[in-house]
Amino acid sequence: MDAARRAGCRATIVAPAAVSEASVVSGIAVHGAPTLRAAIGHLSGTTPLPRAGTERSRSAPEARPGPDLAEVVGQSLARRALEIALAGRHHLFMEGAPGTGKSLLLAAARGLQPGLDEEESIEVSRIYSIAGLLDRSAPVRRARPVRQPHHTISAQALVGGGPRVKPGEASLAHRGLLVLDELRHFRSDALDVLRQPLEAGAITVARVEGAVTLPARFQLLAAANPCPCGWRGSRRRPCTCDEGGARRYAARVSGPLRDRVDLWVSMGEPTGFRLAEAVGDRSATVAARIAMAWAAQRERQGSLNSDLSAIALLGDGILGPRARRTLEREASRLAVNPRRTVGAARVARTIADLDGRATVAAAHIMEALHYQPGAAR
Amino acid sequence: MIGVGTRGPRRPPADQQLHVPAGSPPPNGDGRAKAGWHDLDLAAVGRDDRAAWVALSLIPGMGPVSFGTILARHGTARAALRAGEALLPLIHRPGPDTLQALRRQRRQRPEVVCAAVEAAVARVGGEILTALDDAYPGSLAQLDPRPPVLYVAGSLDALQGASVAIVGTRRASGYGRSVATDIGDALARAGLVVVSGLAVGIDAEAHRAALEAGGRSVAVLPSPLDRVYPPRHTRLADQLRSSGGALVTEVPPGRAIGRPDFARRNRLIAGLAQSVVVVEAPDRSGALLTASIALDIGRELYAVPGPIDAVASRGCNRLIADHDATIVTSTGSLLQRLGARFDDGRPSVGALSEAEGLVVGSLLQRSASIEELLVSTRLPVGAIASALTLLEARGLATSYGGATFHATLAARGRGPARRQRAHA
Repeated sequence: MDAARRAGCRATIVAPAAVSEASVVSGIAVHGAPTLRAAIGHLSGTTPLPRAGTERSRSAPEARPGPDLAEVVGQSLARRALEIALAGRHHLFMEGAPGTGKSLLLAAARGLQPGLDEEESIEVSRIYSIAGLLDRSAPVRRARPVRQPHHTISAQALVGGGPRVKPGEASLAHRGLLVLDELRHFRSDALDVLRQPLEAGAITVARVEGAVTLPARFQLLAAANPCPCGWRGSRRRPCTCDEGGARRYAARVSGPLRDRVDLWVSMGEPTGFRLAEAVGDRSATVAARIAMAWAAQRERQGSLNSDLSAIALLGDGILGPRARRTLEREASRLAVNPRRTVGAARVARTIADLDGRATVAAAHIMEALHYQPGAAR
Repeated sequence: MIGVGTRGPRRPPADQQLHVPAGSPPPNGDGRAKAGWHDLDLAAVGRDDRAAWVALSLIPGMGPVSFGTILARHGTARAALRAGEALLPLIHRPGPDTLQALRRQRRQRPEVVCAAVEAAVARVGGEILTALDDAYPGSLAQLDPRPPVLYVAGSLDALQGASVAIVGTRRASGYGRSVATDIGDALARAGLVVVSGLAVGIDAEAHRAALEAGGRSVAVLPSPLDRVYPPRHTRLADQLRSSGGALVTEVPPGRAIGRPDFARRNRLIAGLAQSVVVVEAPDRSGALLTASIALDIGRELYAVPGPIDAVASRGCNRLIADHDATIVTSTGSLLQRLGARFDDGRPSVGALSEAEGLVVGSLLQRSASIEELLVSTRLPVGAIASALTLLEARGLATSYGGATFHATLAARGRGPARRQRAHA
């Protein structure tokens, strides 16, 4: 079926027994014909066969598409950062006062992800099956998962565990999005256990009988207020936090976790925009650019930029010697540490891919460095 | 005037203490105390009372007001110390250990007490300055009551030179930091000493700008010399000392600091500087205390205006609206009013791309958020982000952690050069 679709077929006729399985492949109509005569009748248009659509509709729950990105007015930089994040599956952190549109952007993200490919679809379905979350009548999940646990979640519920190892939210978000709104309100032990999957894409849960490894190649999208009262940096409302409290709050996102987040954007108050410039592209347009960037990455290296090893990334085919030298020079000027410099290289590659460029230019590097915490601000 | 009210019926209000009411002549009966200790003939008191001044000033709860009252009553600090616990009613805000200290000091020789403090101050490279000393800053003469004893580390010269205080809120916006940097830089280049309080926010930016411009800067501390407050500015304090500036405080070494110390610090800033510039101050800010004392003692007061919807600028805007302060419309005009010449000999920087030029050109006209830059430059957001990062790496723009970006001094320095190229 997959091959037929790739070959450009729009519809297929299969035996009724195969309809269910065939319907797993999307983008192609499936008709069940019990006899050859029925098939001929369908093709000649005299007795059309019903289109089998039931399997697909039963493969829900599909992620709700969420609000359209164009509903976020202003915040151009945050919208841009979100697009880059999804285009390369880079972890993203957004910081801003209440009402700046953080949650709306997080919600819009779910409508921007390309769908799962066949292989990923099977991986994800397997995890949901272990977790007992798979609908028996819809055995294959096609939508890229989006998990948004509440900030009261325990470390175990986040990464999995228990007497009979159950996948946690991090594994349920495998190949999809792990959305953590109010990141600084999460328990610090819960945030700490995320470090391993953020780095390795998998979680090892130690058991008496031995260690169990669960895949958890999720993309982290996080948001938080800059301080406990939320108004630090606001010009309209005074921040009522004391200096020490605000600093401790900021430090709740620990250095190691911070270093693994390649895009860091601080959202100002929505002032100073003009509607003509402030209303950005609709989700459909952005999703199309993201899909193109994915295709470019997969064609070049068979994986997305966030999955590249540092060695592969810094190699000549991907980043290129000129871009590498620019990055080295500017990162040291801005005092960006080595781990984050590699992160910036990945992001720069993605920006170039969004731009449709084979080579990474200095402007792509500088933009990537803009999304570093502390460095570019 | 230091904002101290009375608590309990035992003590009369502060100004009545200073001006001893008629009908109750002071014990020494020379009538000198009537005008407070401000008018005391210090030369007549003589330097031999110096050790006793230091010793008396160490009594917990002793501020300049109490010190003045006591000196007016007893003539000399030495005589006052002999009075022991009888001084208690004259001390404004006695602490739990005030009485004990009075009893102890009555038995001790002031020279011994003074020598011990002198040694402690010397250990951190400082020295004691009393109002009896020649090196005591002349500008403090207007401060009534003036601090009897100061602890100073660094260059005493810096306390005598022409100086301007730059004060403002700890919760400074990027705008405030940017302006504090500009003014600190300009004043230092004009050869003026920049006085501030070493606090985070405006104070620190002003000190740093003066340092980076190769000028001198005086930090007035709310803490003893041996415990710089805030601790994270310890290095900055060291740099100020080692580059011709000074640290000044009224707080003796080893003393724990409290709220009144901050008010005294703010007051001392107004006393030390000939002019005070308030860069950014919300409604209730220590900087406004400095401003009101500056007005009381006849200092020139300047305030930097801010947006009317900016909480951090409300105090400044009100100072201007009430005609208490002269509005600062540009660094140049401030310097002109101060009678200093503006030195604009700054190095220019390397070539910029078109996008970077557009962004820095826009920031030179007006500080802006990314949204505003989208409107003014018509560049895509990615190009603006990219340009801003390069400008920051080159030191031409900064956001001070906020959402608004500002052109730096270096960028302003290259302004004329850029225009020339555009004409060519």
